[in-house]
Amino acid sequence: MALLEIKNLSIYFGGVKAVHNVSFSAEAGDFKGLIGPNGAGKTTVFNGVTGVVKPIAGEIYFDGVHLIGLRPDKIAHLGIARTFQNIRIYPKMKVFENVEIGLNSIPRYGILPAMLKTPGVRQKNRESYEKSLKYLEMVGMQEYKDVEAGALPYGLQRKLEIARALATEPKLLFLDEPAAGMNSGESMELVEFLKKLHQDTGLAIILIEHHLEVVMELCKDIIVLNLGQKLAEGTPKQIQNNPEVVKAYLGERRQKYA
Amino acid sequence: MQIFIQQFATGISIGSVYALLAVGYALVFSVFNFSNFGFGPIMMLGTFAAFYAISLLHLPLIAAIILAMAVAGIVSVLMELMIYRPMRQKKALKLYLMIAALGMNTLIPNFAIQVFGGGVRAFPSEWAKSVIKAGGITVPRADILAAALSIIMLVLLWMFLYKTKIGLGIRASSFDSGTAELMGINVNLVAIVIFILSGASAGLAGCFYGMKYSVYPNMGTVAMKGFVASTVGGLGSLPGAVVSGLLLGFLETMISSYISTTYRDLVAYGLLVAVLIFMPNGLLGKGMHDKI
Amino acid sequence: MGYIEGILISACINIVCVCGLLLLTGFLGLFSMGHACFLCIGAYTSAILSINFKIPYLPALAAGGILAAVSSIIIGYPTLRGKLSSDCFAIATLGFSEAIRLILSNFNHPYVGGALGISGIPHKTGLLQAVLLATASIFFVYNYTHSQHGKVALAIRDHADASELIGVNIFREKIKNLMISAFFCGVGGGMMAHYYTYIVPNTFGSVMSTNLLTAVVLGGVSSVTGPVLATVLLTGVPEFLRFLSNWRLAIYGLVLIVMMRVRPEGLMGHKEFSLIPIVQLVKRNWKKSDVLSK
Repeated sequence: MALLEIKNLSIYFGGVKAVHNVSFSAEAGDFKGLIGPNGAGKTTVFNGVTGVVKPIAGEIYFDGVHLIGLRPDKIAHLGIARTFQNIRIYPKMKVFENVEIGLNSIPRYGILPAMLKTPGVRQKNRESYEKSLKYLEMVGMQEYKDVEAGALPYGLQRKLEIARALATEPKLLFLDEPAAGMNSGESMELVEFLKKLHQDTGLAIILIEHHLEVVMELCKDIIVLNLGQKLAEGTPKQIQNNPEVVKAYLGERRQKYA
Repeated sequence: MQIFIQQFATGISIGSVYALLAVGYALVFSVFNFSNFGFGPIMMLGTFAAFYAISLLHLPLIAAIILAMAVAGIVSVLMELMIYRPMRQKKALKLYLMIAALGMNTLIPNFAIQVFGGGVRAFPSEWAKSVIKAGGITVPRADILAAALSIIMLVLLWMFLYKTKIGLGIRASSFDSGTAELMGINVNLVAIVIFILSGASAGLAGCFYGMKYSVYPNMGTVAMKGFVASTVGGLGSLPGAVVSGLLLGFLETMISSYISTTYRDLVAYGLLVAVLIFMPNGLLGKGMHDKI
Repeated sequence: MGYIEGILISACINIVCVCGLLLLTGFLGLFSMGHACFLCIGAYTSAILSINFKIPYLPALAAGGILAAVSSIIIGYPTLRGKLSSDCFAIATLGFSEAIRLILSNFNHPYVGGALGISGIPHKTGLLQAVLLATASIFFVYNYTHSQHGKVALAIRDHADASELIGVNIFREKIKNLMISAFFCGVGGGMMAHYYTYIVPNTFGSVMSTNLLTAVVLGGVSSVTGPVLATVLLTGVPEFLRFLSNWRLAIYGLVLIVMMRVRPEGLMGHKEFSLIPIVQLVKRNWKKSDVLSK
């Protein structure tokens, strides 16, 4: 069975069919893209899988476990991590502390030991600090470890969010528009960064992105959504040559070159 | 049976006070997802305005009530413009807004105690105290006035929200203020209208409460029954607020007369806990939750 | 001397309670309008155990704290689970506080005393006990808030939804911190009972809750030392400004409003009070005056 299996997923908000009858799957180590015009339902699919919204129909299996109805934090502990369109790092904490939350979302020692600051507690705090540095190194940010996260420039905040997600030791990573707000130079940097990340960690990654060059470069398999429904699935070449996809995007393409 | 009808009438009259308070609170909550804990003092200031209008300026009752609503509405808007709006613009945590609201709930009544004197006083209207006797039951005129004016106010409010353009803007904002703004709705204007209406409800409710019981600087604590009623009815739901307000008034009166008067105030709390455990979205609620 | 001692003991009692509240409202961000009820439960429990069952001081205080913590579940369970608005929690704390006061005022059992309260509680809170308990509270809460538990609380305050998706069990953390804060207030209540030797239900009202909250707000929302210092300030200053006593509550309200408008994160903000910057400042100026005199 695949790592992630989504079968006939439907998510409605009142009368709006945000996601309708969508199915796709991902294997361990895959790098898939999820694209579509605005409002196609891409982030809603993420939200459905991670437990933020409750689907009205369909099935979602991760590592054999049925996800629908589980609490989001339980789903996170099963091995799914995500980043957000509007970055949600903890602005008042230091960079390494942000990553530590990913490591210690369930505190690793009890209340009384914490209050007494036992040697065991000190040891675990040290270990957690070391580990957080390791994840910062993975995204190339160790030098910023003590900086207040809210003071970082946008691009670094994005990387921090990824580092924090990695700290939860996921098997599957959802990236929600990581290239948002970047120019083409920064986007290419991001592509290299994500390529290396994928190689180094062997994670399965599903990427939502509007910068199509990024998606085409990185993903071996692309799923296209439009108006909540799956329009197409295939390799970058297949998708680029698919007349339906081109039509769905035509409005956007026109605006870009206008 | 007569006693039952008598209590029923009393229940409805106090229920309409609670309903008005609940609606005033829910108006602000439904758009801003925020509890204006300064609502109690607003009610108190409106009532005092009416009190002094009658006792010092000898205004007629209706004029005094309108003055109460106006004063309360103005105080309410001032709170929004001077405190809440600047804080929202600075993207303050919701916690901070609630603390500021509590600050007003502490400052204003205590300031009033120093300025007006902390004593309890009766609402200075002979007419309000007079009673009508019909079919063996005695109903204070004030109760009838309360029920009548509350119904009128609520109907006007309903018409305003559902039949006018600004009302549509308010309802859209309560659903999603971000989108409403993008659609061209002047959210700032909506905010001002909402706070005026909220204050006016409080002023009206305060007058009726004053007529039925008494007037004193800490009377704002009654507003808490309004908060509870609104939560029971479903946070953010205006019909829910009205229904629960009436229900609460009714239950309080019934339990108070048939079981025990001492625990009357516990009815509100018990109802709140019961609803939160069994029907967390309230009786008619949409289930508002903290936005990030 | 007795007068100063009285102020110090009061300050210590307040510190114990504020240590509890700062955890819940400052670090976790949950607004409570009725924390006085936990002081009330702690005071009554420890007083009853002390007078009628001859339980010694510290175990009585502990029992008061534990009972307060357990009772906090009554408020916490319905209002903190799921996606209920935090306003529900705030309203529930107020309601619970009023309910407890009402019930105790009308409960005329000889142990409880109804509206007249309990008197004749043994005077066991001396300066030594108060200072020790206050110091212990600061120590425990400081360590706790700087531990992984405290950091998770901050995460929930800043981005609850995102934290949940990272694996934080929001409900469990909220209940946990609520119970701990109730425990500290319960112990503080017990200390109060054994200092004033009599307690009445009406003391534990919204005035007390607001006083505690003002200390947390003034001191700083992500700080332990800030609220502790603010508590000392707020306990001591009114004593010296007796002539303002009528206006004291109004001034507290004004302080809350002004702080929220001007510096909502409190005087200390997110830092702890440290003598290091002051020492450095002094050192630098010392060196300067050396150079000038040469």
